[in-house]
Amino acid sequence: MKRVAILMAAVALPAMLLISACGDDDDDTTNGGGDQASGAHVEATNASAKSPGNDVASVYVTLTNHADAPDYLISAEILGDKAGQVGMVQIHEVVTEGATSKMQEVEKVEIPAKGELQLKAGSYHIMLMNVDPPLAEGDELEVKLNFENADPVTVKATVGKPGQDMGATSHN
Amino acid sequence: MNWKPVPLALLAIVGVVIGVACSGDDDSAGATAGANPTAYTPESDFMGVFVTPALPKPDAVLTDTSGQPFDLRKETDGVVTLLYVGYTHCPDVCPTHMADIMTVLEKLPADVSSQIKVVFVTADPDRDTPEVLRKWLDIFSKDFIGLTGTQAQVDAFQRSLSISPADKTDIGGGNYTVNHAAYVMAYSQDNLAHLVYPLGVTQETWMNDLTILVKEGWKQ
Repeated sequence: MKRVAILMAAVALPAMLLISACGDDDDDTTNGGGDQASGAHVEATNASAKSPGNDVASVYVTLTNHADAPDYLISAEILGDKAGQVGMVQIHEVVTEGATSKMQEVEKVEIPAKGELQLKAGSYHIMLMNVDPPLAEGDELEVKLNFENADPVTVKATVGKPGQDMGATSHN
Repeated sequence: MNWKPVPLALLAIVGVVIGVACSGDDDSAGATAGANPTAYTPESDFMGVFVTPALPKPDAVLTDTSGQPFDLRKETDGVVTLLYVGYTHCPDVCPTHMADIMTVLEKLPADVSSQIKVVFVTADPDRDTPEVLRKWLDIFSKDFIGLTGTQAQVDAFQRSLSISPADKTDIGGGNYTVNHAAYVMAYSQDNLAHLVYPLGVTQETWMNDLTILVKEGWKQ
């Protein structure tokens, strides 16, 4: 089932790009893909990125699922002029047991029906690895988010300093 | 292996406090923050997570970022010390903790912030050489102390704090993740950590507690 969903998304994306290339109504900084047939629609807002100055970085974003069924963030990729700097992208979660925390890759993350998923420090993040050269503060990343049901969404995330002011809270 | 019950107890406490922290996580900067803070008055009793029994300071001699031996107990004896075990290839929890501490120290008046030492111990000595550690810590503060050692030393250090030792997990592309501390430990002048701070605590919590720890010390 998952494989089919990914294929559908892959087909839907070029179609969406074609439409947005022709029209003037699309703002790719904060928007949601809509799948008319299923009603799947995920909106991405408050995207930000943090880089602690070496070859890793993280991206945070708030995802809102407007559909009546759960959807899933299944992957992310970096587009645009920073794409060549980023070697690997995974979805990670921080797992804490007692005094110990650890980061691990997850296959997908649920965005509840008519609900919200906040990627934030200490929870889920999009992990960028083998970043060379390292990202600088102020760099703008174009992040494409792929979902199981909804069409992909592309957001812009500006690289900021680590700290809770970026991504970890519900600041605007 | 007598440390096992402790993490479970801590887990329960941390869970409760994270819930509290999240319910009012905004406006964390506090009204007293300014470019040149001269005074800060704590508004309540300790707001961090209590640890019972308190965590003793690990009896360890590690290597600092200039390559010199660093005896943790001797070098931080009687000084309020924030201790965290992490690694520089951690993009999320570790830099957030360090950045939060840096921000709070900048906001506190100098008579408080100058009485606090910050020690970061790497859980990943293979990648975190003294040079790598220094460069990374300098992003936050040149005063932060960075410690490394052999994997065995670092593992023993983590065990003494009830943290499961580094267990490298390959995530592809030559990358791996390691276990690290779930929270920052705050040692008071009695050289015990009665309080810990999980990710998500507000700056107000830090400012409140650090001020009390420096000026009045640990009190029940």
